[in-house]
Amino acid sequence: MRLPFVKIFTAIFLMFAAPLVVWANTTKLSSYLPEGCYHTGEYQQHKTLAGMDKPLITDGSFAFNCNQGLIWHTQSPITETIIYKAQGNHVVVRADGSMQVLDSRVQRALGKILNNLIGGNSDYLQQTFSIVEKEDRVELTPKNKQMQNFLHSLSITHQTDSVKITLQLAEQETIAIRIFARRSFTSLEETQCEQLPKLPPQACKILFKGTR
Amino acid sequence: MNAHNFKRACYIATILLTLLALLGGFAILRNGLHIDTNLKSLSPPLSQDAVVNKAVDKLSADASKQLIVVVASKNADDVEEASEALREKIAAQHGPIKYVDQSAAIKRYLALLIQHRFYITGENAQAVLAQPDDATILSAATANLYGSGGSVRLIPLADDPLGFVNEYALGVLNTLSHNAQDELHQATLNGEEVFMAAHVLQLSSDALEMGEQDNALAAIENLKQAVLQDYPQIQFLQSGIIFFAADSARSAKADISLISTGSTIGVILLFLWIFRSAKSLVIPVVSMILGPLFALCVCQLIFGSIHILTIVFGASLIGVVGDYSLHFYYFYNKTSDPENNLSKNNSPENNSSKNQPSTTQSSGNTLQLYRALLLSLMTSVIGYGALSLSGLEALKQVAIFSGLGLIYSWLMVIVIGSSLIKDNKVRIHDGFLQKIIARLLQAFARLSYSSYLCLALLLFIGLLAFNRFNFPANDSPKAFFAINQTLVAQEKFISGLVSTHEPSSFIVIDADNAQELYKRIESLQATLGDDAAGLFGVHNFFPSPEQQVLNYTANQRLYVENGIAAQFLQQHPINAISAKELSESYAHSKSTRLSPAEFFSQQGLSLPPFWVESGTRIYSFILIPKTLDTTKLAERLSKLEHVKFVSAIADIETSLKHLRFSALQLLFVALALISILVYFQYKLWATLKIMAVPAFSIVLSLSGLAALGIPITLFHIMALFLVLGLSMDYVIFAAEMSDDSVATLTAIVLAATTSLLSFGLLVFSSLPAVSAFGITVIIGSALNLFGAMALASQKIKSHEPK
Repeated sequence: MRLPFVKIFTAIFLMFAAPLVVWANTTKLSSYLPEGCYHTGEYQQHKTLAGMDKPLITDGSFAFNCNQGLIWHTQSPITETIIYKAQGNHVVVRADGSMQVLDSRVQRALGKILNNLIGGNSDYLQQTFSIVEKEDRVELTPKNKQMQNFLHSLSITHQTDSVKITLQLAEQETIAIRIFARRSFTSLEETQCEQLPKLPPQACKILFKGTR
Repeated sequence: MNAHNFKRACYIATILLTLLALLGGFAILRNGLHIDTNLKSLSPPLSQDAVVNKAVDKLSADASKQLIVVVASKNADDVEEASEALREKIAAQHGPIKYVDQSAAIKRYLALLIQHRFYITGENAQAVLAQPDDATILSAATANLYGSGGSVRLIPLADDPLGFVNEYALGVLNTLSHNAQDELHQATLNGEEVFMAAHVLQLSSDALEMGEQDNALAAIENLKQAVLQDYPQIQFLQSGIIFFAADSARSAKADISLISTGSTIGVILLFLWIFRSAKSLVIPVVSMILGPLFALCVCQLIFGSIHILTIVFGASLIGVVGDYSLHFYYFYNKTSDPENNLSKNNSPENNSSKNQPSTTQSSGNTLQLYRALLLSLMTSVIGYGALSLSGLEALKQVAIFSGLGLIYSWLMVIVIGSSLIKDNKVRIHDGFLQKIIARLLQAFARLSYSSYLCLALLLFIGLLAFNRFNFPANDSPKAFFAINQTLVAQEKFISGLVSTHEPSSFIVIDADNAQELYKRIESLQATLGDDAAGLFGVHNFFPSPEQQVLNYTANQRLYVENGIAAQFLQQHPINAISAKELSESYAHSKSTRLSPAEFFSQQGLSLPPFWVESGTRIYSFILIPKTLDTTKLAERLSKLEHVKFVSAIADIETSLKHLRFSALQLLFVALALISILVYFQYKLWATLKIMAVPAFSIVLSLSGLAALGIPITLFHIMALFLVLGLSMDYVIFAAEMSDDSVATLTAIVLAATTSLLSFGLLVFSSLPAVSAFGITVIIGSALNLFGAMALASQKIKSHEPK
């Protein structure tokens, strides 16, 4: 008689405890991620490639509109702006003003992840990744096996004035992005976007109106 | 040859053929029975060119193994989750379904680009290399290293530090459609906006072999049920040739069941009615079973598999085979029991044959029977054999199967029949039928044969006038199949979502060498202007030989000693490569241009035939985007030399039209040849009278079909060969056994009944090709019978006392 009782008790406990566990996992993640629908900020990216001793460091800024997508602007050592549209059609604008659609599978998937990471979409992250909370960071592993082919894992670390996102990619490649000087807005329309000092106005046009 | 020797020859032939059948049977036991359901064998070869045909066959074989599954729902998350679940289930099952795995091909492709890296440069890089200052090149290379251009590295940094080859590789792989597969798209399904993901899959086995097909379909159904169980809210759509083949096979199975059961029951009932003895069933039943079984074993041995259409036609043999037993029994009845012949009591012409035959007479009569049976067999075998001249693979097999089946059944009738009926006692209970036939003959005898010929001629002219001297025809291959419209709608929907190029039209370019071929592609692009953007061919995979040389020359600035690459490596040291090593590799690569043959000649590549080398010529297929108007495109391409627009449907229609006309010509040639053969046996007037029956059966069948508004297809014409064979069968029996017209004609009527039964059942086939065959033979057989009646009635006249 005792064993069924233990089983039933365990089942009831798990029924109530399961949401608590999920909640515990997501609270830390949510606190690391920005709130709201409109953000701007700056970043520094360290890309480590197999075959290169030193990481490739790039600096830049970004703007995010949850309805339209993300502008990811690189200022140095090269000038390049990538517009990750929320609908998935991503475009790169080079220093000379030339544009190119980024339609490879990896680029599309990376765009989607970045959009949801920078936008703080914890629902998407919970659906797409297995989340493990460590003392100083939250580690995310893709549930989707296809995604695992190019993204092994992702970790988010919260520092005093910044958030560090590290992407462990395939082929011994690592991208560590430090996001700082983050600002939230109540709205971010095209005209506001064009007035942001560190972003090219052409990128705002593409984000809100497309390439045509 | 006497009857005894004839019989002995039949015994020897039976033993030899049985041994052959045992070999076939052993092969079936060892390898299993392979039933082919490929509908392509109902289409003629696409082109006169063997290389083009081979390439199209490969395309077709690849397509037959492809299968697309679409998961759709109003909720995007449901689609993503269900897609992921489907992917996992496919990976977990070790069945016949797998994802199209292009990874080996991509690996080989990238390896080739690396091997010939100094000849390959992206479009942007080409523009950059044309700039005079080194700083621009260094800046572009830095952008590739730091920017989005380098975010996906297909060519390792050590092989391509500046990223110019990587740019080319990225561009090519992005244009390959499989890149976009199983990703979420928005679409309209049944008027509703849905999200969907298409999964392009491949069957590891031959999807057109019925056994493998059943396994594959079961695996697909299991996957579908497993996904729907977890995600009941999603829609699961599927497309692929396997579903059409399975649908046709299902219909064909029902046809086989209907035809074989109907024919067998009909023939058995007829024999029981006429002979009133279970023993009388032995010869027809044994010959009906063993004939087709023999044909099945031997065809399996010859072809390795048997087409489902062959079995459908094979089922109709039952009716034809029954004829031999009928003629056999009628002959023995006549020689054993002259009293048991109602015609003698009803017809004045029978008075001449009342005496019992002597032994010598009996032997002579038996030989007469064998001769008539042999002639009957020959005409049927020739009739069926003519199908092999149709130019369609499926009909060739039908011809061989039917010929073999008829021969073995015929041998069974001779061998078993002569052993079984040793006492020459066969009772026939056809009094009622003979009375009717005797009256019919008397009615027919009221007119002279010339009058019948005039009537037939008038009817022919009348039908021609009714049709306004016009024969409607249909040469579309679609007229042969009954395509399931639900499957067609699903196929169209999925094709619209997944495929970007025309499935059955393409451009074929040929040239003597690679550069000439690329020049012709350039001419094609120039002719089409903006419309050329969506063309997909070898030029999307590799640069032309001329461009490769230009690239190599342009790269010299980078890879000479202390060149731009050396400067770049100083700024961005890569520990796996040195500037010196790069310079040496560049120098060693001189004259090692990349040939597309290195990539496209590899086995197992599931790509269209973009590069086919045959002797000294190169052929290249170019895919046409669906957005182009193919009719206008064909007109525009007609001016270009060595550039050919190929439309599979239009070409097959032209081939079928050509085959229809040549088959019709052949039919009349066969009629003329048989007339010559008959002339050797009979006199000129008799020959003309005999041959008028098949000739009018053929032309009246054709004009009758036209009057019924049935467009003539190749299958109607091929059926007329059988009408000719059956007609000769009837008129030869009528001519050979002229001493007893009523009895002979009763046997002919019964034989025609069994044929009409079998071919009548073909009319109900769900395959229009089979149905067309059935209706033609029915009309032709009815006309043959009418002709045989008219011919036989003249004998009554000649025996009447004057």
